[in-house]
Amino acid sequence: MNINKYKVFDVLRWTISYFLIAIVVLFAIFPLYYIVLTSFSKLSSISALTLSSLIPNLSNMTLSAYQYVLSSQFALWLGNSLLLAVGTLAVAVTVAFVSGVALARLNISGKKALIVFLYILTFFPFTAIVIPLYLSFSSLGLINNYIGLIMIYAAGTAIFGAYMSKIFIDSIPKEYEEAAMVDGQSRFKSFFTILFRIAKPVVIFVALLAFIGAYTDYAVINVFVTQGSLYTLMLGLYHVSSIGGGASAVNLNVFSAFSILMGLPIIAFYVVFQKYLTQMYTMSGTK
Amino acid sequence: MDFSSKFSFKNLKSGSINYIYLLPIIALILFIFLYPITYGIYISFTNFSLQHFYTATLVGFHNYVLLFKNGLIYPIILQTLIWTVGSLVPMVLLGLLVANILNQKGFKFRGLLFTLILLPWAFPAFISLLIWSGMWNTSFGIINQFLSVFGLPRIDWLFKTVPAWTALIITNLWLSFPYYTAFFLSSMQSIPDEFHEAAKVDGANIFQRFSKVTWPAIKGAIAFAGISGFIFTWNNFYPIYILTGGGPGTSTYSLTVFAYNQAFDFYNYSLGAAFSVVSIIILAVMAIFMLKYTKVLEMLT
Repeated sequence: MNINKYKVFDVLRWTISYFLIAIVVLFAIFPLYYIVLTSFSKLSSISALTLSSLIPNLSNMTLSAYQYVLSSQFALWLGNSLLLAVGTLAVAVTVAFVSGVALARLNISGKKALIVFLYILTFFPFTAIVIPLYLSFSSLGLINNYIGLIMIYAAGTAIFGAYMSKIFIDSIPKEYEEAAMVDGQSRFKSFFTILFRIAKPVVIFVALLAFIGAYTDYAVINVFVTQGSLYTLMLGLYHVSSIGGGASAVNLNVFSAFSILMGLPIIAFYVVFQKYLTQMYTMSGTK
Repeated sequence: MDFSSKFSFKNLKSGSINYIYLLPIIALILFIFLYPITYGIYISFTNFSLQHFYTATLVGFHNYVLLFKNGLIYPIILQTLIWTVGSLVPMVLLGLLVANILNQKGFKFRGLLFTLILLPWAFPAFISLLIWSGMWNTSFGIINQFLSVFGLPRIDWLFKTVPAWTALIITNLWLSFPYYTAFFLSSMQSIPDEFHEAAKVDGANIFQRFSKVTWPAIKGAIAFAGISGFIFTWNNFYPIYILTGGGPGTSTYSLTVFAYNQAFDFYNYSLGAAFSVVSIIILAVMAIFMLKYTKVLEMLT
């Protein structure tokens, strides 16, 4: 009797569990499925986007949206975006890692205060920084200049990254560097190369944050770049699918194809480094 | 040999020479954070705008009077709170629910389902937001197409206040719940199985086991995720900027989006700066209270 009751309860529990998870999974993947589908859709008119178009139908699929995107200035924008993103990544990773090591391992007075200060800096909304920086950059003639932009992007990631690196390096036993020093490596080499190797997850995590931050930024570059030849994919996306404020039916397939092409480098990054990233994401508290 | 290596190690670990390693970050903080923030505070006391781009003068508290005396800022503060709390509560709850379901012993396909749930997170947020703005579209958006299948009327999602908030919060929930799921699941998995087993033997039901075993173990994780999430959501700019742009009217503006619009769409730099200053002060006060109350800061240092 009692055992029966438990069994019924168990069946009920698993049914509810899988039912809820099924809904959650559908919710999670639907928008991504939808964008892949629309990017191949032939008709870009309003009437084409009905529920029946949710089922893939090969005869209705076309690559025309992709052709349209690739015939725009996509290559130029991609080059610019990658230049900005890689530049930001290099600066942010270097600064974050060196500061992280110093904060975790070196004897520096006032270290605790500095760590709390770094944490508090992550509270500031970006408008508090971008408005005044825009005004000083434009009076210094630094508008349409990538170096200024890289510094702005890198600063945010470097601060957050320094603090993440510090937490991560704290969890690495000190014996690693000490053993390396006994082996006769130079101080600098042992300190940084050994830690760099062990701290790979955090390094890759900071690299990804820096890359995505610069690569998908719209709010900052929209203000700091006015020259067409310096446009990035983000500005190009607005330009090509003329979405200003939201996608419209006429160009939804172009917009979708553009988003997918644009997302490829980031998705590649995720796929290659996935094992490090899951570990870091849960530590960090972003997104 | 052992002695000499220890000696050099100690050498490295002391002395003010170590500040050299912090110089790059200090330089970035000075030029990209402290200088602009200070300058921003100064600007908020001027009449810096497009007309006064080269002739801005100090106007005292004029901008702040405009914000508070004319009551311009109160609805925006309230909306920022709605945005932050309204987003955060469902995110944490859904994250907890999904983590609890996935954490059940004997759950099949956990790895696969968990990976699928993490997908929204792996996708760049900005692009996802543009996808969602298409899905919420009144005339061709897929969400209204769904509604019409059930015979329901089309909803002007992004152009009416209550539907606009609904759309914003659902979109933000989609963007962020995977993070909370992953965070809670990883802290739940650090609880030894024996604890649950022992509680089961003692006759605890599923809810008692949650409140007596799981909850105490993940309380700290929830506090940390809650505070970081509060600050992140308060400042989160893109969802509102892309989906509603603050509209209809000004009814879904948050402080950050309003500051950006004031500065870069209306060229009202000083008012935008004043909004940012107020936002920082409110956030800082709340953050200090939350950090004090939960002792999260001690966990960090």
